[in-house]
This record gives sequence, structure tokens and C-alpha cells, in this order.
Amino acid sequence: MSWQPEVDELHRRKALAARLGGPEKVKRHKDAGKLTVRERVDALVDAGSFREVGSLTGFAEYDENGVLVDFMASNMIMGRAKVEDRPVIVVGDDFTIRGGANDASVSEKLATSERMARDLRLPLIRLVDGTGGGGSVKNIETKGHTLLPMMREWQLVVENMMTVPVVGLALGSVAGKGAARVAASHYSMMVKGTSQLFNAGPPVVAQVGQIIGKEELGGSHIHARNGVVDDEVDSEAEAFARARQFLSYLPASVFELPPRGPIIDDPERRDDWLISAIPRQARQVYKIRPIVQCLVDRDSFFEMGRHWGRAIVTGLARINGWPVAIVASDPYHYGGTWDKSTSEKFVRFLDMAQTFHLPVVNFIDVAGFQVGLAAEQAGTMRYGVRALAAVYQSTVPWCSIIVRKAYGVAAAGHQHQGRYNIRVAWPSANWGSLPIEGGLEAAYKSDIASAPDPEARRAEIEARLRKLTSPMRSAEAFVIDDIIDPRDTRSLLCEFADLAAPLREPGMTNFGIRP
Amino acid sequence: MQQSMLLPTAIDNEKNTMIKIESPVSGRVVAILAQVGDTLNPGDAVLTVESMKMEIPVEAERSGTLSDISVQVDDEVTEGQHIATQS
Repeated sequence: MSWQPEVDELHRRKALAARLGGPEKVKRHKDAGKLTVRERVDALVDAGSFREVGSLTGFAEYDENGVLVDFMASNMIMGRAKVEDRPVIVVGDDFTIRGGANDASVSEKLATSERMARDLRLPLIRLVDGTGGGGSVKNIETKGHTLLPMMREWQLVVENMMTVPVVGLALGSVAGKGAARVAASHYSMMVKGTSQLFNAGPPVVAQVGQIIGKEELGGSHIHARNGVVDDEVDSEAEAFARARQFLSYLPASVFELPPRGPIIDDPERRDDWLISAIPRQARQVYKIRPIVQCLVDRDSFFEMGRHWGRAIVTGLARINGWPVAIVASDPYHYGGTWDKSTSEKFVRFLDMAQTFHLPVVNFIDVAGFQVGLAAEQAGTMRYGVRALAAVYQSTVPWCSIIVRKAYGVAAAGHQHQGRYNIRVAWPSANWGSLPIEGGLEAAYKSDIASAPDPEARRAEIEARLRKLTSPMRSAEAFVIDDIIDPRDTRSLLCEFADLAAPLREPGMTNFGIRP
Repeated sequence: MQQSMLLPTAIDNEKNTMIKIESPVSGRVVAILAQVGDTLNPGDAVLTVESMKMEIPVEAERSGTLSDISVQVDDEVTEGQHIATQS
């Protein structure tokens, strides 16, 4: 006699679980422009690869004979799956059941999903759609007492940041612990219009006197610009596609190395327009993204965090097939001067590169930290020195290309100066501790003041100094390794990527204290 | 991936017939480069703002006809300020 009756019941239970919160709740959810949690998993992972863990968790109803009459699934599903044929862990909230606020069994499922990622050393993708804390005040009456917030699984969340790639997607209104689980990741996204993120939602906010809608309070236009999430996307499908692409550059865990992709582009490719990419007029800006896209392998640049920390562009790419981390100054944002948000983005990105052994390519056009009263009030230097510390705590291979300006403390952090890194400049480069304008007035103060015509004297000194600013003169003194034809940059980068590959070392990074 | 799964999240762009163009930086307007009535494509510059000694073009992010420019040369603008409109 076989166990067929039990196997039949297994199937029946799973069929009941597949109803999620029931047709009405599912319809309302989908009418709001969202996918259900199971549709999300199917859309995210390789077809047929999802192996659910905890598929039988939920709330059953039995008749007087102990026969199952109904079953409502737990509102979090999780398990193992594959993305581009590589194993991952995926975990998602079901908003159609109790608005995604986790039920009791979920707390252990949540911890298990994180533990599974850590111990199997696999990337984790969180599909967050709810508060995730189960923190309804109704529980006070149910339990007869109040609970101290603990978030016991947070140890795993923190350890996973040090161990495996973590993607956090906000796919609905996420608050409290749900919001925290999105932000506590290496790459996070929100969907424009259908996802919001907040510390607490409008009903709680109303109690402190702000009457505000959920989109106005926590839409992606806010959090993709302050760095709580990295990017906003137009659809859930785009979020899943980007999550898959993000993972393609990374190892499964810090105990492996980033996998080399296909070699699809000529390492000796020279693009003529690069010789005029940087304008000769010093006040004129240029677009850095096409330059980066041209120098890395064709179609391989994956920008992260486009709308925040805008004085730098950051993203992953492949060079001669090897995954690398790209940092590039963007002069469109205050001439590439660094503000607090830029330093924060730099630290977040560089820490990820260091954690997952990605060599860094840094394109430098840094006029310095932002100056002026607002910059001082914002505490720019605090965040700036933290960025410098991150550079000096990094050990990944590094290549610096100075494309234009390199001034002040901010530019001094363009690489770790205590170890050998490849460093070259384009002919458009110029540099100094201080810009000549302003620096000159300070350094030649008495000379200018005592001249019969101070303005003429100032202009004369400036002309004298300007004659000495060619980077060729610096190269004579070996201030810079070399000045190269911009069209030869790709060849150099490919050599760098080849040299860097065997230097990458698997293992865990422990960062020291930062100022 | 089933096609039906891609559909529900498409954003309704038709709703937003007014497209705001905001200044990405604080600074002073030094040149107006487009005229009301011009058709602008993503990346086309509307005006130039001088900031940190650099001339920074303010560009359209989407396609549309320029229906309004609400600043003039020499105006001081702040980061995020609505300076032009497309429809």
C-alpha cells in the first residue's frame, strides 16, 4: 500500500495555498498594477527553477474528524531557484494576505531565508511588499502584553551584507522592517508609482500633524534621490531584469570570484571621437556616460544609483570579459564637486566592490569638495573623510584615469597612494591642491596688494602660472605615470583587467573604523 | 516569462501631459537655448546655468513640445526649481 492519499493531500494543500488571499484580494492587488508574489517569483527566476521551502506553512481548518477542510497560506513564500542557471535564494511577501504583515510562522521563515543564503553562500533577492514586522497593535490584546522590538533575524541580515549579494526590491507600500529590508541590501529598487517606502505610513504620520498621501510621503521620486534605494524603474518586469543583470557581475558569495563573461569586444578597439570628448573650453561640460560606455565592453555598463550622489556615476561593467566596478565623475553636477550625498554613494559602491572582489576603474574629473556656507552646514568634510577611509581600506586592484580636473582633498582620494595602481591622464588633465583662481589671491597676497595696479599684477601672475599647468610638465617630473591618447584607453583598461584578475582574492572583508 | 506578467505594471504616461523640467543645480541662468514651441527630444538643452564656474546645460528628459520657460537670463535658480514645461 502506497502513500498516495498523503501525496494527494500534499497537492491539495498546495493548490489551496496557490489561491493566495482569495480571488477578491488578488484582483484588487492586480488592479493596482502589481503582480502577485508567485507571479513575481516566476517572472524573476529561470522558468521552472523555483523549489519552495516551507510550502506547507499556513493556517488550516479541520472538521470534527480531523479532515482538512480549508487552508490559507502563510503570507511569505521563499525558496531556492536559479537565475541565468546560477542558484539563488528568493523570498517574497504576499500582500493579499493581511497586507503582507507577517504572521507568526513567517518570522522563522524570514530568518530561514536569510540563514539559507548565508550558509549555502548564495545571493538573496527580497521581494518586499508589506511592513514585514507583524507589528499590529492588535497583538497587544491577543497576547495580553506588549513586545520589545528585537528583529532577531537582523544579525543574519547584517552578516549577509558581508557574505552574499543581496537585492532588495520594494514592490508595494513598504514600511518599518519591510523598508529596512529593502535598504539593507547591496542593490535596491522601487517601482515608480506602485511602490512607496517609509519609516511609517500616512496614518502614523498624521498623528505627528502631517496629512500626506503615501506617494507624496515615500514615492520613488524621494528615495531614488536620497539614496535610501539605488534606483527607480518603470515596471516590476524592469526591476526583475535589472536584478538578474546585477547578479551576473557578482560571485555567488565572497568566497568565490566574479565570473568572467563572454569576450565579445576587441580589446584594441579605438574610437576616434574620444580625442575630442573633453571640451577644450574649461567652463564647458561633457557627458561622461557615453565615454564610459565606449571604453568598457559593448553594452556591458550597468549604472547604479543614477539619481543620487550625482557628482559621480557608478556602475558595474565588463572589460575584456572581466567584471569591474566603475566610478566616473559627472561634471553636469556642480562641475563634479563632491557633496555629502556623492561621498555616501561612493562609500556604498566601493564597499560593495571590495566585498565582492571587483577591480575598480576610476575616471577622475574632481574639482574638489563643494565649497560655501551650505556645503559647510551639510557637514561635507565628515562624509568626505569617510570616503577617503574607504579608499584606504580597499585592497582591490585599481586603475585611475584622470580625464580633466583633480583638485584638493577630494581628488587626492582618487586611489590608495600606498600601493601600486595603474594611473594615467588624458591630455585634457590639470591638477593642483587649490584652483589657481582664489589660490593665487591667497598665495600672492602681499605681492598683489603692494603693486601700483593690483589687478594688472594679479593677471600677470596668473598668466605666469597658467604657462606651467600643462600636464606634460608634471609628467616630466613623473607626477603622473603617463599621459595617453584617449583613444588608447580601452587597450590600457583591458590590460588592467587581465592583470587584475589573478590578484583578486576570495574571502571576507572586515572594514576598520572610519572617521 | 509570460507576456501577461509584463503588462499590469506599465506606467500610464498619458496622464502626465505636463512635463516639468527642473534645474539639476543651483546657479545663474546665462543663456536660453530653446524657444517655446520647439520640439525637444531627451538630451536637448533648454538653457544654460552657470554653477561652480561651469556652464551646465539643463536638458529635456523626455520628448515633447516646449510650452513654457519660466526664467530669464541672469535669474538665480535653485536645485530642483521648475524652470520650463513640456507638453
